[in-house]
Amino acid sequence: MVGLDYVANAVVSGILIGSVYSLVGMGLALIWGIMDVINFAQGDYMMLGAFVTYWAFTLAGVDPLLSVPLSFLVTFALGVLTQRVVIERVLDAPMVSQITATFALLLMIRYGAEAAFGPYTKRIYVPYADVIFRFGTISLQLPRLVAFFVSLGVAVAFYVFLKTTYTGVALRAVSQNRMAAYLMGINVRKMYWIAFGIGVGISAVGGTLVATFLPIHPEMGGFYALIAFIVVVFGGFGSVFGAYISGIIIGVTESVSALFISPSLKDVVAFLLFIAIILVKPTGLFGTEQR
Amino acid sequence: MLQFIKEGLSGKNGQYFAIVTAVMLVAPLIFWKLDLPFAANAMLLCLMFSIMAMAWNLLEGYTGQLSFGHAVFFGVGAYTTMILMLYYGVTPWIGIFVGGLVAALVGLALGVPLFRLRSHWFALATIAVGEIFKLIFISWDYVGGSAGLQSPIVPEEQKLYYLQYAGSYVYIYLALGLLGLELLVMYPLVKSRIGYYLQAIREDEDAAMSLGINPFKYKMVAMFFSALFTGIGGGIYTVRFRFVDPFAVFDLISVSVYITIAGILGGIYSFVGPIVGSFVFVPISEYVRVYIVSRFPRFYGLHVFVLGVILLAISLLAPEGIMGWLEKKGYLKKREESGEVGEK
Amino acid sequence: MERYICKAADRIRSKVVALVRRRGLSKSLLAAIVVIVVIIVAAAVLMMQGGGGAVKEVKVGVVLPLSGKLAETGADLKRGLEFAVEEINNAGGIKSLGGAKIVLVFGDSAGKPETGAAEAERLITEEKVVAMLGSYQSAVTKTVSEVCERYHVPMLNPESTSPTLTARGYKWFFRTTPHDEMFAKQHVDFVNWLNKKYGNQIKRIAIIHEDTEWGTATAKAWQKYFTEAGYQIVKVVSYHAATITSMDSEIDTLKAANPDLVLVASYVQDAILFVQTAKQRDFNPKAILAQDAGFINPSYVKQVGKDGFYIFSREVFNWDLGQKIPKLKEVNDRYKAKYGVDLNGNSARDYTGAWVLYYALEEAGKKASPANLEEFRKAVRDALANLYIPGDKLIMPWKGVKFDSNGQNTLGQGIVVQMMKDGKYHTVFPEEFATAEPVFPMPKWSERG
Repeated sequence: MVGLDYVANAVVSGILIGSVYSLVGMGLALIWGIMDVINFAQGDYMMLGAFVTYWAFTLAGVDPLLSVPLSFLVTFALGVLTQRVVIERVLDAPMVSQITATFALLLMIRYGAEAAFGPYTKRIYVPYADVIFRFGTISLQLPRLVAFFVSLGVAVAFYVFLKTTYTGVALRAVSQNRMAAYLMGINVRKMYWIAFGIGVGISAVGGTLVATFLPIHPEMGGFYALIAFIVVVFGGFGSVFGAYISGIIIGVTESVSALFISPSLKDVVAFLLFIAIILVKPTGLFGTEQR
Repeated sequence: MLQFIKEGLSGKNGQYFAIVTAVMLVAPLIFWKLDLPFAANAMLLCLMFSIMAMAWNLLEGYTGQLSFGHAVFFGVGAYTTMILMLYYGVTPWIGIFVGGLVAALVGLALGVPLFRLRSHWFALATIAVGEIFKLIFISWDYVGGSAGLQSPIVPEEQKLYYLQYAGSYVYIYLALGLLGLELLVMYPLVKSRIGYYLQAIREDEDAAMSLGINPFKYKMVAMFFSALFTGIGGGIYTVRFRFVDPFAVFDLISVSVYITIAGILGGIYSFVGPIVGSFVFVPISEYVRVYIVSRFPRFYGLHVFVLGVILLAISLLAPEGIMGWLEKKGYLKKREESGEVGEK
Repeated sequence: MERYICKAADRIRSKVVALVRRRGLSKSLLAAIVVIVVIIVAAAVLMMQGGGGAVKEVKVGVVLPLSGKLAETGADLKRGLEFAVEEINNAGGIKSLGGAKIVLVFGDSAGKPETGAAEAERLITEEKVVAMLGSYQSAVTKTVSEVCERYHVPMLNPESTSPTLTARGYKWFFRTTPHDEMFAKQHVDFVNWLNKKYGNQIKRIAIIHEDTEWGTATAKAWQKYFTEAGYQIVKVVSYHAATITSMDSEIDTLKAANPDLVLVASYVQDAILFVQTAKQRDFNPKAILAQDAGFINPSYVKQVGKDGFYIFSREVFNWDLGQKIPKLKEVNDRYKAKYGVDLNGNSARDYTGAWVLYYALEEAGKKASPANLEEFRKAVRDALANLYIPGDKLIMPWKGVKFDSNGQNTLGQGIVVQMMKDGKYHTVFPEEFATAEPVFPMPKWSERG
């Protein structure tokens, strides 16, 4: 049947791509955790990050890795804007308005990008794209390896941010008890802006990384959004770092299961898994009971 | 039941209803005579979405369950009608209703696990279910797999039996009839005790439970009719195009999301809101698609972008949709006066 | 027609007059408005009918995926058609109709069968086209041709290859290109020939295909004919072209099955993805054989660059056939001068399709006039049914064009090409059209420069 070496390769593959899923999922978990808002458009901010990198590379020759801070900042700004103009207004509205508002954002960003950039798939060719490390039957493409380490770096940086900076601590306070945080003098509104901005910014970094080894397309967000939901639900809506870990797990699961079942059915498995989880344990693996 | 209908059609409402009906009955004739297939197509789409959005709204506006997965019922209805027609020679006059019934049963089956979920979990799950159905139908040979199913052209004398006509004109009348049927069924339903219970569930499920209302039972009732009429909408699609494939009928954006937009745009708290919503958004979307996107294929996606803008505007500025907005501005009689039940 | 307009005008007039009486507007002003409206409507109606005399233009409808994921292919096909029509019109148009020019009227299917059907209806009833061309994707062609069959409009399909299209008993549908079963048989011939030449190295075959009708039908035909010929199908993988973002699992699955030959049915973007992923994952079958579509698209060739070397593709046509078919070289030179790219299987088939339709229009013009739309459409249809075009009048490597009772051209055939180090496809099979020796087995990724 399928040799062990193929499985090993799939596991490694899964870890590498999973690190990108983790970023998108982490951003989604952050937004949900702080504001109790499910951002349907999460995948599309990732797409924006990918395109920022593409244009920076194509028009100005900026190396994709250097464009990580760029795509983060651009998307962060966009996220703050979104929060200010859209999300704020539906925070206390009936659920249907929240859902439709973020879904509307999905449509606008995805199809606006398509109308603006054209419906064509684009690729970036980094100079080190063809460098492959081989250990036995395990092959590691350099761009994916780099993406993995950058993703890890982002996660670590975010962790440090949350633990040590004032803003980080304030964010955690808001997520634990909004009223108490407010009473302690934290500007909750500003925290929400920052939370949304970071949430989509991290996702955009995921987009930047993916752009270095996969083709990008204005509609790519749909797939990654779905993965992000599975990741977050699996890892627990409350836990940001649970999301990071579960992203890796999901990546490996997807990669390995594709060896045994038809690749086209792997999506069905993912969807079923998703439904099963939200039915059985909506708080996820690492989740904490929410307020 | 009849009493509800008489009430609903009294006074100004009745006049509007009569005028609108008259226009709808005459319009297809005009389109046919003047050879305006685009207008006829657009009108048929408006009607189909009216039927489906009204059905969808039974779950959303009345019961508070937002579904992004109604494409499932549309697709099941379309395929059932096609399979009965193609493999068993059953006339779509029956097949469309059977399709609706099968869709309703699928809805009940889905309701069992999914109604445990609230708000956005439910919405997410419906998206997942829609995609699952699409993937299953793509790999399922009996229903034609990814190639879909096409019904052959039947000779002249069988045209009525198989409802096969060129163009959209005849189908507009079919859709009008089915829409009328839907109104006849739904109006008494929502005006009755069941309607009250559904709205109570929407407002506060826990409170409703404490009053002795079984939410699950009534959600299932709502689901039954919601899926039924959406499936009937699918049947109309089958007879009109005589071709079904999984990519067309289980599509998230062009079926599920469109239905949702129609309902929300028109006003989910208004009985006829979804109809109004369909008649506003379909022409806009079609116009942008045919006259701008097709002329400039470079801007593919623009028509959906426009829909996104509309949806955002509604969500932020007029969450009660067009009908709600009209009421607020006083253009319409207040619903309490006309006997409809409002929202909070 | 005029009768109805007059009656309707009368009814409107009396209604308006009744309104006027109630509201009290000036009667004479209103009468003037009504008269003007009636005149405009009557004029429009008369214009729509078309004058009886000489016909200046003949409208032909075209439904193609001009927007959406297949827009690049749609643009390719459009070019082929427009180039042919320009040639025809410059050479004097339809001589049997006094030099009437062909005018192409385009409808965008956006890649969807319902949209294609709606566009076809519009072209037929509003634009009153005499014939239809299109629509590339078999699913769209299915619905468009059904509309044409229903409205009795002849349809010429130059590029859809699903065998089911000519198995429906339609009388108004004609297809010039060979279909997938014919091509699959030819694939088997080619692999048999490779094996004879290079010592039977191909035994295990894997298939990867996109999952709409075209890819699925192709895969089925492959499985049928290759199994019959004694080969072992070790894996079949399918994917959804419109949404696929990564082919890692697909390629890994193929790799795990260890095939000698991989058969690929992909559109443009997925073809690019396939090749690039195969390289990344170091997937080295002895040969890769594609079923044109994405693989012959200029956009694919450009983006894939040297990674596309040594891949075989079934083609219907290739630029280097110009060495064997003089007429082709001449046409391709002019085409290249105008558009900057060579003709490829898609643009060439549509170019040929336009010319075939033209021959039919010439025949039809001898018997009927477009002024009587229904008659003319029937005449075109009959002309197509009886048409015979010898191979030397075509730029395709075909024996000619002759439609059987199902509307299928039985004289067509495909060729097999391979991309060589100059970045171009060279014909390697059948031997009478070959301009190069095939490179087999395919050099491994690690061995290439």
